[in-house]
Amino acid sequence: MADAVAESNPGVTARWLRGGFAILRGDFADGAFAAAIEGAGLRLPTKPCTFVAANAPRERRIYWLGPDEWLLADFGAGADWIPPALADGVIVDVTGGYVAWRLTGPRANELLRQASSYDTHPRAFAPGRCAQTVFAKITALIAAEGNSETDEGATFDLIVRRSYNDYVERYLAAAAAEYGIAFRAPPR
Amino acid sequence: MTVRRLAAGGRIDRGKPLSFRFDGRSFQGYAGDTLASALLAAGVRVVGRSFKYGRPRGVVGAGPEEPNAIVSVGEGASRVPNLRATEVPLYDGLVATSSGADFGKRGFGTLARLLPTGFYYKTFMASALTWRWAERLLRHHAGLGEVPADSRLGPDLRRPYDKVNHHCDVLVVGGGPAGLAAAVQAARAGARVILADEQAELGGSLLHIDARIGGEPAAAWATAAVAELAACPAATLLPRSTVFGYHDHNFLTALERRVDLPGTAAERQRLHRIRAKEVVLASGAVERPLVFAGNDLPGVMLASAVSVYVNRYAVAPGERLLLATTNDNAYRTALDWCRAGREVIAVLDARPSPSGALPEQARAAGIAVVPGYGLMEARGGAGGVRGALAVPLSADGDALAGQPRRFDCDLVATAGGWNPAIHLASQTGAKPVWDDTALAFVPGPSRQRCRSAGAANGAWSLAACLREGATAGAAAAAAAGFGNGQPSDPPVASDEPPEATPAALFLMPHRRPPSRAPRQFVDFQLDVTAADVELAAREGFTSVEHVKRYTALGFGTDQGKLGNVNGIAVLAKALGRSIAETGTTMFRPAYTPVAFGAVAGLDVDDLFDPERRTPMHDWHAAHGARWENVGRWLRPWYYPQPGETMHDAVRRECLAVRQCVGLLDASTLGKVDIQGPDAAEFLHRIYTGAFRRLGRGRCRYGLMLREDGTIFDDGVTARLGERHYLMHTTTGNAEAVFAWLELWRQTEWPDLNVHFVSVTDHWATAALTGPAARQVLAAAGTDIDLSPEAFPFMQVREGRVADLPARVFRISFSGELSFEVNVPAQHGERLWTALMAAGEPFGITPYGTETMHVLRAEKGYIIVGQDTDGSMTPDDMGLGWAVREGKPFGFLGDRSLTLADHQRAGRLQLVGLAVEDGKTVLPEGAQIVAEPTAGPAPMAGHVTSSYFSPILDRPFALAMMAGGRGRLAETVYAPLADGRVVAAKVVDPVFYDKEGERQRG
Repeated sequence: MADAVAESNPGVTARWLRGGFAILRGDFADGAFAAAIEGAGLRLPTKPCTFVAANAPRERRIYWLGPDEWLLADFGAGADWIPPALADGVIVDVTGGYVAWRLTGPRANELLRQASSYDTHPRAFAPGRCAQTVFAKITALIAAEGNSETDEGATFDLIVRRSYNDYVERYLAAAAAEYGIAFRAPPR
Repeated sequence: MTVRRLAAGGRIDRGKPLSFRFDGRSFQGYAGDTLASALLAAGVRVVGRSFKYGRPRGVVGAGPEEPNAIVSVGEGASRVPNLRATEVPLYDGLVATSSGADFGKRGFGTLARLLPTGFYYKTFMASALTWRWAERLLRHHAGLGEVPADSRLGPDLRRPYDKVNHHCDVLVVGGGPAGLAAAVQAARAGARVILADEQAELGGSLLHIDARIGGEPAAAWATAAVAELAACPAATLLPRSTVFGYHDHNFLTALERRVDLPGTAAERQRLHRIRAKEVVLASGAVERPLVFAGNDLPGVMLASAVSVYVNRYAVAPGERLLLATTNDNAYRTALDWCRAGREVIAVLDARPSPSGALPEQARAAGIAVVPGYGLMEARGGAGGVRGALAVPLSADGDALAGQPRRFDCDLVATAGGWNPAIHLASQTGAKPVWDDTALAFVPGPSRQRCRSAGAANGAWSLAACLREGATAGAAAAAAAGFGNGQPSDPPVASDEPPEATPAALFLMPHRRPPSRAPRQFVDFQLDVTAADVELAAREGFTSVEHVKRYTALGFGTDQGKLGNVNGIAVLAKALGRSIAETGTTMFRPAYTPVAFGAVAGLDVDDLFDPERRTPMHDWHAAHGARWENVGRWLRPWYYPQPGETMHDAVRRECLAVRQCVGLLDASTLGKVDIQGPDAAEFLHRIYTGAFRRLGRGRCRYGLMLREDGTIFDDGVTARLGERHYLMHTTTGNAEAVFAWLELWRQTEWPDLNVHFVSVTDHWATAALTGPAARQVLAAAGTDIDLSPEAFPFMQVREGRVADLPARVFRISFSGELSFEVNVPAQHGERLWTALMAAGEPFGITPYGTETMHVLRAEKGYIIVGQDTDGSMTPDDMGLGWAVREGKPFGFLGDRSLTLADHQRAGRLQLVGLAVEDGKTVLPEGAQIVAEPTAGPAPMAGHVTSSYFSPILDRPFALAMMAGGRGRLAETVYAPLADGRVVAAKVVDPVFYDKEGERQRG
């Protein structure tokens, strides 16, 4: 019975966001790095635990990971994606290193709270915020795409290291068994 | 069997009958019932047997204090032991069994006489042998149910337990008048509020008391308050959730019992982990029973519990009620009983002249009030109470003042006052304080950001509970940054009758002393009597904590919620002290029992520990790989073909690599991308080797030391560009090395402009190894010139392999010609299958970690963490060649290499061992001695790696031996656990291709 409900109306939908990933490192106080970022047409979040979003031509996100470290995600990019070049600082292609899941649905917040002790309440984790935190027994990056007190649903991106993805999928399925989770993985 | 259900009233849904089974018999109840109320309605009086004496016991309470109705619910994997029937919401198909059902019918029988108070200690002191015998007996009989053997539920293998995390501004514990008032105020102030209550329906006492708030019935106000909270998006309601632990930093844990979920009918539990800025403890109070002879007979209940069953569940657990009280409050129960159309035999009031509003109401209702009387003894049999003896009390209540009077009754309710549920407050470290007005222990000054309100704080009237609750809720919200701290439109109790001063009475006097009277139970769950407590006092125990441990008072899973204060009162009297002087024991989590499964949550079975998988995992699995756990990774260990043993498979794989070509998944090696103008300088400092002068496209073996000069990690680092390097670390050490690099850059050398990026997961690595490796790589298709001249050993090239973007390292961990091909992980499986296809004409063989180990050991290559143990220097391992003479800036650990101990003679050194019989594979860890004696001998070293070499066709080993390099050709001995003593010759640790020609080919 529960599975029939889950099939037709899952509490959470997890959509695999394929794309390109790169890690940026540099000292933003250093003018050369800032100029290089601008030269590459990028905008970096400097406020801790936030991300900057662009949605055209593709969804591009840059997540603050640390004072000198960012994760660039170019969702929807093809297999031949290469990260933009930087005149200063460091940018390293890590496309193979991450898997991103977009969690949506009325139980998305609950699902996140089953696995993570981070405060994902809309008041604490408003859209535009991200955090590297404990997810079940691994480290993950979670980001609030949509999260409000009045809205039924929420949208979170969950970005994990590729080698842990099998564990993450099993964990999500087990945690969401009660209200159902639908995994959607678009072909490459 | 008599049906006890009232025709009307209560908060049950008579339109929803539910069937359930208890101890094998079928019953029916209604939605809204608890298991306890449904059993009482069905006329079930005996719900269990007592632990020590095997006495029949019935339901006493209606909440978490219940000591007798302890049940296991569910069957098989869904069985949850150790639940209180008073807290189990009824659902259709519920299956419950009473605890200790088989043993409990007997108890310890006549043996119980031999188990006096302090039995454990007395037997301990008597003889260790006695205890060994007694412990086995006790262990067999102890416990309150069985733990399920499986961790999954039903046909869909659901897991019965999970966990959820919460953060809030205000957590309110308890959903009675004070808790509801507090939660509403905090929510109105705009705070994020969580309200947790152990009952299925929020409202607490409001659901059964005859009272009015703001002119409307109390229950209606509760319903409105719950509706207001439910409509507030910032409020979370957690019914059926017991907050059982108050931990440091306002971290609290609550256990939710979930029975209304779709799918299987079984109960599931969820552990809520709540981090609250402020906490309001409105956990209410538990009524204190009176202690008298025969007070454990089924049908002796708490007065308030009788009211709960009558008013909330429409169950009258008897016909003729005898009520014994020390206060006005309990008269409500007599009035409720009258309204239910049942007979009140009498109200025995210990006070000489009860004249409050409630006693007057009782008299007006025609109830016989007998002032100055106490209950001396309940009489009855296995079926429960049938009568009682009441006696006139002396002025202080301590002695008889006349002859007993007999009353016939089938229900005895007692009311000795109230004990605030101070458990959570006590868990914060707040020492309970005896309050002579409230006649109870109340919470002491709080050590955390919490406040108690209502009955939990010793406030008894409804008006006071509402007032304290509203005030605490508003204050807590303000402390968390919401509102001005003033309650807005707080609820007010209307027309509440005032209550007169209660009497302080705990143990009812008997005409015989406790040691001679029929048992006067203080703690029902562990069968502790007033006589036991007095005996402990006579035997010299004066501390309440010691008496608790000596008598087991309050040691049960109910933590003495009913009995503790009575026991303390008996102890205080025996010691000639006041209760305040005697004090109470500390409370610790858990408030009510919690299953280990709930603490584990989902982290069991295949989710117990995460496993990392390589990009080629599915291929390995499809090709029958056996797995080895390396760090958190799952790596192919070997690939047995049908009929092959591990030995056969490893032999085949080893020979294939040495004679032809093999393919290893090396994706798990740690990989760090290092870039920046000072990258070379940084590597030069962190490694022992000379990295400043490493040319572009070249690789170098690097050895990393700790500050103390011991080996930390090793691996090959390649220079990819002018300021660009790639470092390899060992698989298990990747995270530690990355943290080590950041530590030194951030804290010691912030002036160095260098950045690190972990790319372990980004790259898939296939190590193509063996004499035919070059042909296979060429066949797979590459634009890299593979000729030895263009691409020599220890170099790296970037290009395309099998039409994939690739980095190819000519490095070798086997001593063979080897190309480690790296492609981004998303292409990993394509690379692997392309290389396997290209290698097919050459007989390419996939090989696992076991073969890798054999091949590297044949070459004398060490594995950090297997051949080293954290105390080895480079010289110990024969790696002096990898250490430069460091000038001007040395390297990490440089200075420590000159420590006297690092330079002393006789240190353990890496050597090879050639087993002389040519057959025996020494066990790793075997000790080495100089003489072939089986007895004690000075140890000369130990075996660190040991294998059978297929290419050499003999066993060999690596060992760490004292002064080993000076003992070549010496014969040493390994005495084995099975008595054999194996002789081996000390040899050079390089067993194969000493010149290293093969890997350079």
